[in-house]
Formats: sequence, C-alpha cells, structure tokens
Amino acid sequence: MANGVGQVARILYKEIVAGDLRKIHAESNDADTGGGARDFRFGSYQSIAAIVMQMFPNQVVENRRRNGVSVPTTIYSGVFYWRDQLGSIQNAISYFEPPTDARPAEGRITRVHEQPCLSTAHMPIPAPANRVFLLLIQLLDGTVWPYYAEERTLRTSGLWDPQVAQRMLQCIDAQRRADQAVIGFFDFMSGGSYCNGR
Amino acid sequence: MVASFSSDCLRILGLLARSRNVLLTGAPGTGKSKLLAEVALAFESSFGITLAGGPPKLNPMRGIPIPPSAGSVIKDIPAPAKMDRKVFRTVFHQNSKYRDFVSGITPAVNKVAGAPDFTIVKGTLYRASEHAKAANGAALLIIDEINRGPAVQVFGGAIVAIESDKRLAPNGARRAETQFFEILDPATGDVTEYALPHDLYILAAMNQADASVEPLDVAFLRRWEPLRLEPDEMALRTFYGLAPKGANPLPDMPVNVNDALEASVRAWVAVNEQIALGRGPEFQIGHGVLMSDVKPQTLGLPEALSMLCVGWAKVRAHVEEVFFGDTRGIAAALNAMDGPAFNPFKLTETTFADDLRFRLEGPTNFAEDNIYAVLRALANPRG
Repeated sequence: MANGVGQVARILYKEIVAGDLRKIHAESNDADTGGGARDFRFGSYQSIAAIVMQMFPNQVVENRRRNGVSVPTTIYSGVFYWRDQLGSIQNAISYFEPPTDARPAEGRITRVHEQPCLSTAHMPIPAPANRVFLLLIQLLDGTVWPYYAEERTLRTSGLWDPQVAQRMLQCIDAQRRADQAVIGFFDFMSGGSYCNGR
Repeated sequence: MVASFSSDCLRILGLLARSRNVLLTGAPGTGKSKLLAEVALAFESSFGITLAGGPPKLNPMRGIPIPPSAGSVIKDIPAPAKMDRKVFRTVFHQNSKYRDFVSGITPAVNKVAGAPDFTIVKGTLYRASEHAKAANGAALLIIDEINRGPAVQVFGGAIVAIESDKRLAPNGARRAETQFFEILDPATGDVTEYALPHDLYILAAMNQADASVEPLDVAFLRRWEPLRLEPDEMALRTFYGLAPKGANPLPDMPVNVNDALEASVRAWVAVNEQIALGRGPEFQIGHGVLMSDVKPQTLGLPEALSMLCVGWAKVRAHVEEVFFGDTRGIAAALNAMDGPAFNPFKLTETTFADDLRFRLEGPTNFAEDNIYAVLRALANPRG
C-alpha cells in the first residue's frame, strides 16, 4: 500500500455467477454469457459508473466493432494491486469497458484471465448457500485491490469488519429477481451506496 | 451504518449479552430515557456497531482482507450474528396487565359477522419472544417505568423464565434448565407451555425515588443485572461548554453567560448534596433537567438567564416534592438556613397555636432579575 495506512475508501462488489465461472475458465462463448470474451460483467452500469470511473481513472480510446462497424470507444483503465505468495506487492493494468449497444446495462472488466489476482486459484467455489463475491477494494491512496469473498465468512461474526459485512449482507439479502446477480457498492468517503436489490 | 455510541450504551449492550436482563436505575434527569433510545438504536444496528474508529482498513496479509479493526466492537453485544434485529417497547403504568404483556383474552373489536366475540392478545413480551425465536431473529424488549405498574403481576409466570440460564438453547432446543410457564396460546387458544428464547433481551428502567411507584420485591430484582446512573456534573459542564470547576468565586453580578452557567452548575451540585444528605442519593435531580436542545452559551445573557429560569423551576419543584411537608428541609436545600444574606430565600419562624412554625419566604417564581442571585446563594458554601 502506497501510504501504508490501508484505509478503505470504497468497495464495489458483484456476485460471481455460473456465467462468470464459465467465462473465466474459458468454457463459454455463447451469446447468453456475452460471447467468447473473458470478462466479468457488471449489470446496473449506470448506477455504478461513478465508482467505476474512480477505480479505473484513466481513459483510452480504442476502436470497437459495434453493429459490424468499427467505432472509437472510450475504455477505462486502472491498476489492480495484490500480494503474491511471497508477500510482495504486484500490480497490473486492468480495463473496464462501458456497455455495448447489445448490452446497454452491462459494463465489463475485460481480460480477467490475464489478471493473476483474479485467478480461479484464489476463487472459492460458489454454492447456493455460500455465494462468492468479487470485491474491488479501493483505498484512500487510490489503489484498487481485488478479492474474492465467501458469503459464509460474511455471515460469521468477527471475521469481517462489521461495517463491511453488514452493508454487504443487507444487499445480499435484499429482494431481487432470481436470475439477477448481487451488485452494489458503498463509499465510506461520500457515504454513497448502491444495491441492485430492494 | 457507521455509528459511535456512548460508553454507558456499550456497557449496557455488554450486560445484556451477559445477563439477558438489565435494570437501569437513576434519579430523574440522569439520562435514562435517552440511554434507552441509544441502546435501541445500537441494538438494531449492532451487527455493524463500531466505536468511532473511522473507515475499515485493508489487511492484505490475512485471509479476510478487511477484518474487524481494533476499534470495532464485535463481542460483548447481544446476538452479534443475528441480522433480523428488532426492538419492542412498552411502558408500565398502574393499569398494565399480564394480558397486555404476555397473552390473554380481550373483546374482539370491529370483528366480522360470525367471528368470535373475543380474541387472544399477543402481548409485548410474547411478540418480542416470537421474533427472537425466528432463525435469524434477536429482540430487545425495552420496559420503561417498570415500577410504575404491578411488575410482578404483569410478568406472571414469565418471572422465572426470564433468567438467562432458564431460557431455551441458542438453537431453540429445550435444555434441562429451561423454565416453562403456561400461557394462553394466541394461535390456538389452548393453554400451552412456553419458554423464552436465548436471544430475547430485556432492558428495563425505573426511578426508585418518586411518587406513584410500586416497590419491587427482591426475588424480582435479583433476576436483573443492575446499572445505576448518577447525576453527572461533567455532563452538565460539557453541555454548557464550561471547563472543570475552578477556585474562582462567583462574581456578585454575572458579567457574561459563562458566569450564569457556572453558577447554575455549582448551585445544582450543592442542591444535590443537600438532597442526598436529607433524603438519600436516590432522590437527587439529574443533570438532564437543566439541559435542552438549545445551547445556552450561544445566547445572550438575558436569554440565557431566562432559559435557566425554566430549568431551575423544575429543580425547585423537585426539591419541594422531595421535602414535601418539611419546610426546614426545603430551606436547607435552598441554603436559606445558614446561607448568605443575599439569598432571596429566607427561613422565618412564627407560632401557630403556641407551636413553632417555619415559613420559607422568597420569590414565587424565578425571573431574569433574580435567578442569578438565587443560584449564587445556592452555590455558596453551607455553614
């Protein structure tokens, strides 16, 4: 951590669903999961866009094919930080692409298979009673640290900081469509939050 | 929810976690009701309760990336792992009934044609208990003024079952020590055995020294963990924005608002000392009686004096109630026996039917032009 303090500024989280697993394992290229790209998809993009832009603060313009036509598209980039097995801090550039015309509500972390910190080796196996969540934890110094979290650990008192566990569990337990993945954020600095459930 | 709670609040949560039943006592104005409200808020949010520790911190060297910080309170709170937390509230009074608190039969109001003429009440204790029996449930039942009503009768058979070691197991199972009592089952109308759950917490409050309160027997009281609140001079000084008491005497006339507020604090301390001597410490008057939602130090001197009149009228009424029929007691509390000559209150002697009688003379009401002299006199050292 750059400033050594480690204070959490905001957390963006999403539930890892079966489609995510198939994609990170490169097992799917069907339209239901968004083709063959190795992405983690974030629904409710309009609601989380401001947080995404804080975590992926840099912009580059790249050409993307939209409806068969190559069009310049703004891509967001940031840096993921993690510690390797020896405890050394590593980092890598990560990319977040805004929605496409075909999927106007979804943003995507792209090339997840190229991110060691998102490796399935770190990912617990999701189960109906023990869902798994991807957390993008941004610190006060601006660094973003991805982690996987199990639902059962969040529900076990004393493991997580209760400020985090309570907020996430409130969103996890909120009502939503059965096929809708849990997505939300909370910002300790601004007090803002979002949950895609009610 | 990020919140910080007072040390008294956290202490009560700890006592509830340990003993299930806590009885809060204290003189009027010591902040019992405020504390009950704070504990209610803390209980409902206590899955996320923290001291004022700020945002959580990342610890990337451990399995859980954001573990509880050192400032977080994650133990010594009731049912820390339960998410469905609810507070139930009731106030006991002379007409409180077992039926209203546990269960009982009452006439059906606005019933549909053909429906029974009577219905079975789900009392406050019953509803709180049922909530706490749910899989993820925990309930805090707050009973204010528990000694204003016939508490033992209102609890009925539940009086034994409330003890922490007489409850059901955390998983709802019956234990060898579980104490059952009979109730009229609101669901079936049958008399059935009932026990209280592990995660039902009861917080009661009372003022021991007051009119129209009922004595509580020892058997009832020993089922509660007591916590007593005392009049708190520092709380009042903090509210007034005053430093700890110095050695400086009060000026003859207030130069600024702080002089008036300092006189108020010193007078209140002195009056409480006299009450504690004359009637007992439980009869004192709490700091809250002189506090309101307006900070007097933000006012001009006349407005501040006017505000003090309101609070001190209550203090005076309390003194007159506590020493009712004892004119010398009132005079002693108001420093009118051996007090300074500038005290507007004077104790005079006269005779009635050849018997000695005492009479306290002084202002009928406090006003801006006499309140400071009164306070200065009350604060003056006693002879």
